[in-house]
This record gives sequence, C-alpha cells and structure tokens, in this order.
Amino acid sequence: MIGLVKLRRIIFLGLRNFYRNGWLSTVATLMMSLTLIIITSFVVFNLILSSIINIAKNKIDLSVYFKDSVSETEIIDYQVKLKARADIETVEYVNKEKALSYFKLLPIKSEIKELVKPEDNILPRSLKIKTKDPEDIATISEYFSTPAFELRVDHISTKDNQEVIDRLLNMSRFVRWVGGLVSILFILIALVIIVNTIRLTIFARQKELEVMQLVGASWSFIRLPFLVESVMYVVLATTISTLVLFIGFRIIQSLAFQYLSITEYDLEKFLVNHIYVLIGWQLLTGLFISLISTIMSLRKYLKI
Amino acid sequence: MRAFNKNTKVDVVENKNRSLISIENVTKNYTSGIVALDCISFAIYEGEFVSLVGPSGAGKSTIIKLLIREEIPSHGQIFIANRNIATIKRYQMPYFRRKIGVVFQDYKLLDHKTVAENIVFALEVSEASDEEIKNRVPKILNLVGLMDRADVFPNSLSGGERQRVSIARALVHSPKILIADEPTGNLDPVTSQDVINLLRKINLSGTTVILATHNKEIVDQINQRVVKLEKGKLIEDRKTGGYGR
Ligand SMILES: Nc1ncnc2c1ncn2[C@@H]1O[C@H](COP(=O)(O)OP(=O)(O)OP(=O)(O)O)[C@@H](O)[C@H]1O
Ligand SMILES: [Mg+2]
Repeated sequence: MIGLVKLRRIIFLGLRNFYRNGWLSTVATLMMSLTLIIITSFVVFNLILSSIINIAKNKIDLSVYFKDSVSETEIIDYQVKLKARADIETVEYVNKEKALSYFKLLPIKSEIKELVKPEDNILPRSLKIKTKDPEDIATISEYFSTPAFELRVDHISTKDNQEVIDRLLNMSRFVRWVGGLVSILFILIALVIIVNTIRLTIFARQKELEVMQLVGASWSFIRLPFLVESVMYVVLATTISTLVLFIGFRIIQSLAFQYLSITEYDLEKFLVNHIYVLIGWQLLTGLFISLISTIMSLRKYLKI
Repeated sequence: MRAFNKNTKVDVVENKNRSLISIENVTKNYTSGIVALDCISFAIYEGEFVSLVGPSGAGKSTIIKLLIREEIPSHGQIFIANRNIATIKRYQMPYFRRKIGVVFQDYKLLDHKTVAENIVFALEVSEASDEEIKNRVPKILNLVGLMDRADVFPNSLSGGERQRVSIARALVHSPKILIADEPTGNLDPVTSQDVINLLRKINLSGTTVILATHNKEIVDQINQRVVKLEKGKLIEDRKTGGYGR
C-alpha cells in the first residue's frame, strides 16, 4: 500500500521530470500523438469503409417481374416459398398499384409519367427480393431464369447489371483487404517507432536511474514517476491527436463533398457521436503502449 | 601486514561476531580482464576513521563499489554488521544503501534536479516526513556552505561545489557508515580542510568513516588508521600514522 505522502511525492516527481526533460518529453509526446493519429485514423477509416460498403451492398436487390398472365395467387405462393428460405432477408410483393406509385416517384419527366394511367396500367407486377448476403443474389436470379419460368417471368432486374454487382462485390472485398493490410502495416510501423522512442527516452536517462538506485530509492520511487510521465504524455498526445483528427476529417469531408458529392456519410457527425469512445480508445491504446514499453525499458537498467 | 592477517584469521574463526565491516579474501576481476583487487582482507571496526590510500588505479574506488554492492566480488565475501552483503535481496537493496552514506568520486548528482532537490530526493525516497525534510535540508546545505546555491542545477556548479552537494547528500541520512571517495579531489586546500574537519566531526559523533584519497598531507594530518593499496594488493595497514614513504 502506497501512503498518501509517497503518492504525492511520486506524482510530483513525475510531473517535474516531465517539464524538466522538456526536449525528451516533447519528442515522446509528438511521437505518441503521431502513433495515435495513425492508429485511430486507420481504425476509423476501416469502420467508415465497411459501413459505406454495407450501405452500397444493402442497396443491391433483385426484382422478378411477372407476365400479366401469371395469377396473383401464384406470385404470392412464390413469395411465401422465398420467405421461408434462410438466405432471404425480405420479399416484397409489388402489385400494379404499388408499381404505379413507385413509378410516379421515379426522377423522370412528368410527360413520361403521364403515359401510365391507373385505368390502363401496363406496369408488371413483381417480387422485390433482398438477400441477407448480396453474394446470394446470383443464385436467386439463376433460379428464376430456368426454363420452367420462361413463360411466367417477364424479366429480372439484375440480369443486365449482374456484372456490375459482381464487380462491386469484388471491389468491396478487395478494398477491405487492402485497407486492412495497409492499416496493419502502418500500425506496426507506428508501434515500432513509439516503442523505440520510449526506449531511447529511458536510455538517455540511464545515469539518472543508476544514481537513484545508489541513493537508496526503492522500486516504486524509481518506476512510478516514469509511469506518471508516461500518463502525462499520453494525455497530451490524446488531446493533440483528437484535435488533429477532427480538423483532418473536416477537410476530408469537405473535399469528398466537393469532388465526390458524397453526402450520405457525415464523418464529423460520426466522430462527434463517438467522441467518448474515440478519446477513451486513444487513452487506453496510448497507456497500454507506453506503460508496457516503459516498464520493459526500465527493467533493462534497474537492478532493484 | 602480518598483524593484519592474524586479524582476519580471528575473524574467520569467530564467525558469529565479526567487526562492523569485514572484507575477506576479496578479489575483483573486471570483465576487461583487469584484476582490480587481488585477495584483499581487512576489517573495519565501529567508530573507526580509516583512510584508504594508494596511487591512481590501485583499487580504492573498486573496494567502495563492492561495499555498497554496486559491484559484486569475483571471489571472497564482504560482511557488514555480520551480514554477507551478497545475500541481500533485490528488494532490500534500497534499505541497505540508505544506511551507508557515500560521497562519490564522480559526484553522481541528478542533473535534472537542483542542489536542494538532489538532497530532498535522498530524503523523500527514504520516507522522511515533510517536516523532517524541511528542517534538515537547510541545515545540511549550511553545513557544506551551499545555502545560496540551493536552487541551482548541478551543471552550473563548480567541481568543488558539486563535491559538496555529494557530501551533503551522503550526510543527510545521518548514516552509520560514511564512505568518501576522494572528497577533496576538486577542492582548494582551505575547503579541503573544511571537509576533513567535517569528516572528523562526523567520526567523533560515532559514525564510521572510510576515506579514499591519495592526498598525503590530509592523511598525515588525520593521523588515524591507514590501509594502503597498490595495484590491487593490500601492502600496508597501519593503526595510526601517515601515508608512509
Ligand atoms: N567498470 C570497470 N570496468 C573495467 N575496469 C575497471 C572498471 N572500474 C575500474 N576498473 C579498473 O580497475 C582498476 C582499479 O580502479 P579503481 O577505480 O578502483 O582505482 P582507484 O584506486 O579508485 O583510482 P583513482 O585514485 O584514480 O580513483 C583500474 O585499473 C581501472 O582501470
Ligand atoms: Mg577512485
């Protein structure tokens, strides 16, 4: 049990060392900020990437348009059968009225919209199918393409753009992989740099460590002030990193808005909503890295 | 020399009741291959003032390093207060070190702490109360004449001033044993005299003092026991008197 006096002395020693070792503290703080910025931005980047991919994937569905000769009960029968399948998320029956109301909502000229009238509705009925995994769309599409359906099915929405869907799916897989690999690589580089920076800051103070041991400083009096210092620069680094991330994402956001007209994804809102998670995550990551490397580096120079 | 060997024998026989410090057949080989100490044996009794003399490289600092377990003997044993110091556990080291005050030849000050903070640190780590620290630090700074340098960093001190900080730090615990390695090495004759007078005063108050030096005048003036080393060998141990030859 550490007494209060001892605790106060240790904290005070740590804080004083932090500003007395101005140069080393600055380097360690900046390196830690850099590490946190790299790790956090890659984690956030991967989160955003996968949610954008998911948004895009969720938009992929399949509509099977039936010929007018097919009876409504038959279509509903297919709907029920499809719904029973494990890989299907939803199956919506779009009858003539619904098809018309969807049609009216389409962003097309009103003259064209005038062409279809409720009395003379030439729009086909359809089943709008969403699979749990967009990869399964092809299976459903194939099923309705078999000769048995030739007389019943007018056309299938994805038939023409199956290739586009495949490419989108492949690309999302690729982007996730590359994003993950690049992130891991950068995170590893950042870790190597920060661990060695901390080792160097302690190496630079071996004489101090030696003297402290010779004047009879105990285990806690030597180590804990160093840990207080670590906590200091992790807290500072988290502040710096959070500010930089906010400014950085704001710039990225405005660029994305300007050039890519991506408006659906509000990065800043995402960050603001997760501000505590963001700060907590950085603090924990920073503390974990710095405490472990501090303890490991101290071990090397301490005989007590 | 012979008298001395007899002493050791007695010590070995009366295993239970050694003198305050007992150095027994100690050899120290540094990894570089240098034999810094070659089978040294002698005892130091409580309250003694022992001058450890010999030319540069004789092994004086090495003995001191062994006494505070900064280094470990290659052969032989060292007993302090009947305890083989090789058996002191890691976690006991700080307490052991606090009982022995050391004035290091190279001062060993903490560069990022002021003069006062260097001394305060030695007290803080030994869990002295705030009041004790407040009382003792000015007194000890006064004693070594560094009151007006209290808030200066070691880098801006002269060699002699640093030496005095090292002395102040060694004394601040009122240790039972005070070891001073060349404490007058950087001091002018007048200040040297002050330091020696201080050491004698401390010795008179009951502290065992070990002084390593090659300053002949000082040793002659002290006129107490002299242990002489040369090239790692103990060549003379005189109960009283000067540097000799
Ligand atoms: N850490 C070390 N590694 C290798 N050799 C050492 C080490 N420390 C001392 N020596 C060698 O051991 C011998 C004794 O050194 P020591 O410092 O004990 O001498 P000394 O009597 O204190 O000399 P001085 O009066 O110059 O301080 C010297 O030859 C020195 O080079
Ligand atoms: Mg020496």
